[in-house]
Amino acid sequence: MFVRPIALREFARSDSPDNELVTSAQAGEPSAFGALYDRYLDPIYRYIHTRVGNQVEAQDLTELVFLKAYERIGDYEERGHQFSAYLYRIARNVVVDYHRQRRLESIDLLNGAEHPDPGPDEQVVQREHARTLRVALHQLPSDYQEVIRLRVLMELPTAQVALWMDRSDGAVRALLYRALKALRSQVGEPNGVER
Amino acid sequence: MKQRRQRSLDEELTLQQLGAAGLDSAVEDGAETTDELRELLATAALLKAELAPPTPPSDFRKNARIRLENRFRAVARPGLREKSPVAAAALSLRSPFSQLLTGASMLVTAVVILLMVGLVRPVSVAGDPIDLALKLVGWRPSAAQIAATERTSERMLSAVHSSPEVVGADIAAVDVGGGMEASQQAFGEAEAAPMSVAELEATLHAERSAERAYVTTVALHFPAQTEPAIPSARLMVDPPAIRIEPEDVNIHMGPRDRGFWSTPRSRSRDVNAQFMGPRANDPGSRDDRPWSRPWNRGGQARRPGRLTG
Repeated sequence: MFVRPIALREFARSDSPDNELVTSAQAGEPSAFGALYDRYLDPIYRYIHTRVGNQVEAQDLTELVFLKAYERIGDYEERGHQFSAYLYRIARNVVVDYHRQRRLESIDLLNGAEHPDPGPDEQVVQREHARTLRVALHQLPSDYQEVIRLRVLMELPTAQVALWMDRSDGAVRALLYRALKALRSQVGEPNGVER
Repeated sequence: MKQRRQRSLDEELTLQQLGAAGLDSAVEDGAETTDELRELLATAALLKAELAPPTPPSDFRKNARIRLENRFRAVARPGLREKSPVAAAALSLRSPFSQLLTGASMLVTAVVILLMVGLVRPVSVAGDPIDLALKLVGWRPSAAQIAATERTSERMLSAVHSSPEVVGADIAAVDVGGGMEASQQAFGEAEAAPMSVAELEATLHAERSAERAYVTTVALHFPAQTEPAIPSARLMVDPPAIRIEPEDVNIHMGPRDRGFWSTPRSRSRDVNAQFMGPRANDPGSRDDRPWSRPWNRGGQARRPGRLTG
């Protein structure tokens, strides 16, 4: 009769493996999901931020990702994929839905990113650089974009990128090489490169 | 060829640099010159500098957690695929205090709903709460005892009927004592032996004869409840007159061996009618009493104060 309330403050067993936490969460243990939430909040938030370039939207979508994960955790089966990859897929779909609804992806990516403000002159130059990079990045094939986001922008280890993208480590390295090469050809010679 | 090229590149670019940028296999992947690798590294560094996502704001983790809790209110727990208001309410809880309050209110709500839909009905009173108590503990008074205690039971029942908090409740036992002592006994010794009607009357008579000014508390124990979830009520008996203290009504839900939920429906026909009476401080409104209501006519509800064996 009495439904035990969820309490995200109960972050017990935060050092437990994902699969144990998932099993507990599926059994209705709120603290287990809380531990997963605590563990993957940052990477999911940062990933979404790379996609929407806006702090407020990133926060909202991050919460939406965990909400969806919570709703569907009963259906989750590991099947060789880590829970973080599961979250990543949800995040990717959430971002796609977000852009589909707003149909403003290009505007967001090109203009909406937030940056710390340096001096006025530097600001203009830097914004132009950033805009150029965003345009170039956005014009790359989606898997190129993704590997750059995950490996370069988020600095995730190659192994984790491989898990999230469902590729081998070698494939990720090769993809990154091709992606950077393609990006370099788009933007031209990066500033500050010493010869 | 590759080895020579690798050796040459390594002289200027360490594998650590390449590895940090995820380009540790760039040579195998086709990088031809050190300059090319430098350019790739510079491109990666520029990307990182310009487009790297910020770390979450310092208060984001905390605030996001709170917001997430709020959003969890709108969904059911895993396994409850449909959005249940009860589950959603449960999910919304934060502090232990609010958890306790909400948990108690949920239980009360659930009981009320179950009573309304008729899935669970409390034990039949069949006369008055004392009678119910005696029934539940398996004690049956004799005719003499009934006669001797009828007046007391009437007063008791009158007091019970004056208490809106008693509506729908069922009673397993009765303890009588003085003031807070009895109240504490009721709450602290839920398994205390119930008082018979005769004992109750004797106690009340003693109180009256002594003309004590203090209030006697009659604590009514209710059958099995593991949670003190339903608002309790305390009958305040102030001799010589028994009067209700509606502001301090406190009926204890003491655990008993007879489970509330296993109560046979046949025994629980008219409990609401028995307990539902005029509100406190309005004892004369008999028309408002449940047994005068159309839906309670037909012999189910009986006048209070009559003990049945």
